[in-house]
Amino acid sequence: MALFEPDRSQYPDKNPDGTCDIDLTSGKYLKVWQGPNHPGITGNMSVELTVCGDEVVEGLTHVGYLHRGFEKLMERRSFIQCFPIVCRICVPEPDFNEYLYAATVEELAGIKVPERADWIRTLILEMGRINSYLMYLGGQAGAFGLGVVGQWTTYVRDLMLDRFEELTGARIYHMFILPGGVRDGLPEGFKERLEETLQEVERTLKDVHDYVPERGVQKTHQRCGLYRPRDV
Amino acid sequence: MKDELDRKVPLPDELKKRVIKGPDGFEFEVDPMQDYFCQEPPKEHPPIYVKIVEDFFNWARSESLWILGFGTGCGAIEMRPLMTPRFDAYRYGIQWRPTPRQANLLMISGYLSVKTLKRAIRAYEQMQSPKYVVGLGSCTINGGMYFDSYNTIKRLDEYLPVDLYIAGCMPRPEALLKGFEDLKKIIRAGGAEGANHYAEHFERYKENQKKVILDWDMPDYSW
Amino acid sequence: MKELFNRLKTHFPLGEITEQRENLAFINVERAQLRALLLHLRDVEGYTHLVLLTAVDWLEEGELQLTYLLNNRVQALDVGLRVMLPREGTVMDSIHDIWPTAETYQRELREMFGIDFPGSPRVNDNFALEGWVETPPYRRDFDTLEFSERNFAHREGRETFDPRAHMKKKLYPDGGA
Repeated sequence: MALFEPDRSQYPDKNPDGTCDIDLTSGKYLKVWQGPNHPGITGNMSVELTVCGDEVVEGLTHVGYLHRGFEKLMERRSFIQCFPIVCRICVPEPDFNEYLYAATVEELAGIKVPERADWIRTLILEMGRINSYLMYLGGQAGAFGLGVVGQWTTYVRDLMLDRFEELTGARIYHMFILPGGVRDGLPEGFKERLEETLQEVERTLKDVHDYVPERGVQKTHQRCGLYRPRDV
Repeated sequence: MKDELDRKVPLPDELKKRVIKGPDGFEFEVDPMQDYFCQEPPKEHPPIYVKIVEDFFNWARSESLWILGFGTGCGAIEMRPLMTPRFDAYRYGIQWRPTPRQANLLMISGYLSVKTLKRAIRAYEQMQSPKYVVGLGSCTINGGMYFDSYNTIKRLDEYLPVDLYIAGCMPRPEALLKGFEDLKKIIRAGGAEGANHYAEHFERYKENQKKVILDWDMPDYSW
Repeated sequence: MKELFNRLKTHFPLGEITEQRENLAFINVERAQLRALLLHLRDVEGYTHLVLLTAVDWLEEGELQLTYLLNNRVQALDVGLRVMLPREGTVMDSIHDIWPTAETYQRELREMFGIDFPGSPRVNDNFALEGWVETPPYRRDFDTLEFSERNFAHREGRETFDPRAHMKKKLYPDGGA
């Protein structure tokens, strides 16, 4: 396992203002836009790559495909009307944005949240975290070519979304965490059903763990080089 | 040129019409804003065969809708469960394809910012006729929650010809499947004429698009 | 946080300190002292992480406020530095050589607020908006509803269920304010 020494001697250096003087008319480089319509980019972002063979010389990111101007919209709405907006900042995991906004309003207004609401909030946030990890695993394994892992994790994420629907009423944008607490208590029998779903999640994650780190593509791409923290 | 002077955002230098010298010393004029493949506006393709043959073609088209996998907005997250065995869309003949050349259905899933609209128009124009557009969510209908945002479009059918809207925020996967069913009925009845409508009112659509996308740096129709 | 403030006061002229929580405080500084203060906080005091760099638009007072939020990972303390700038022709020194991640924040501020950071890499490139020719959108004097109605075509027949509009109609049925 060798230390990763980046060797950029054959490429022009970066100028102080961040640009790189790459001569595109010589046949050495190829400019490829990995744009928003790409199965490898999970989400809406584009990367403007300058490539020499297999090595990426320069990569510039372009964002803003999903820009809606949230701060500007929130200026026009009252405090409680901002709720549906903060949900939709992060689509795969909307709960933590709700919690951030609710905690800010509570701190400004000096509201104290009851303990039961605190626990329910923790439960929702943890469920949301599991969901987002499942989606990430599916997307990352799909980028490596292991498409079936995406099917497993999306299916079991669907089961978790069912639990969310039972608790909050909607699959994705829950709008459950308000300043002052949560909107409602837990329904009857929720604990048992959630326990079953979590067993299913655990079984799937065990499958994913057996499959992803141990098989071909991942194994050849692991341990190619070491980074020290101060190089990053 | 009228278009040149009207532009609010100037064209970058590399896209202007200019004379360049080739490797063998030969000078030629190049205009990057022209599509060298074809300069024509799109044509309409009215049904030309006998009715029974056209019905058969429409049935075949409706049974194999290939979607362009371009998740333009929020709704992309409710399209993923459709690929899994639970809400299986593959049994209806619906597949997700990565390129517009292999797709015939463009699903605009949610709000469209102006930047994404430019790419969506390019992807739509590169698809081959007959092609359909489905607007997902309430943001394509009347702007939805972002009705006062400065970067999202409010009415999708000003810019692209829409065949079907699916309402909701987010629509559930079952609602999406029902939407596909409705789209199939429309196609079989011969009513999905989005591409022909686009060709017929091409000038109006282009004018609407250019009004919103101020830094237009593409050919008028991306063949 | 008060000890930190007293320690800093011996080296730099500082404005007042606002303590929000026991691990978060804001200090008002002048533009001229900012760079030296940032370097001191990063190298000597251990505030090595730049959390964010945002701006607040104080329209009534006629100035823009920049907030640099720094975090000390070891002691888990946050300190925010506030710098006030005039609203016309706003220019600020770039800190991209102290923290390289600041260049993204500076690009965003250039586009959204119109605050220029000369020397920052790619600061004049379009960040999230393409083809924008109006005033910088996040300034408070930019009216987003009016712009949206002027620029985009709306579908008619939209009803509003805004509680404010409803209560106004109920309390003042003849339309008075």
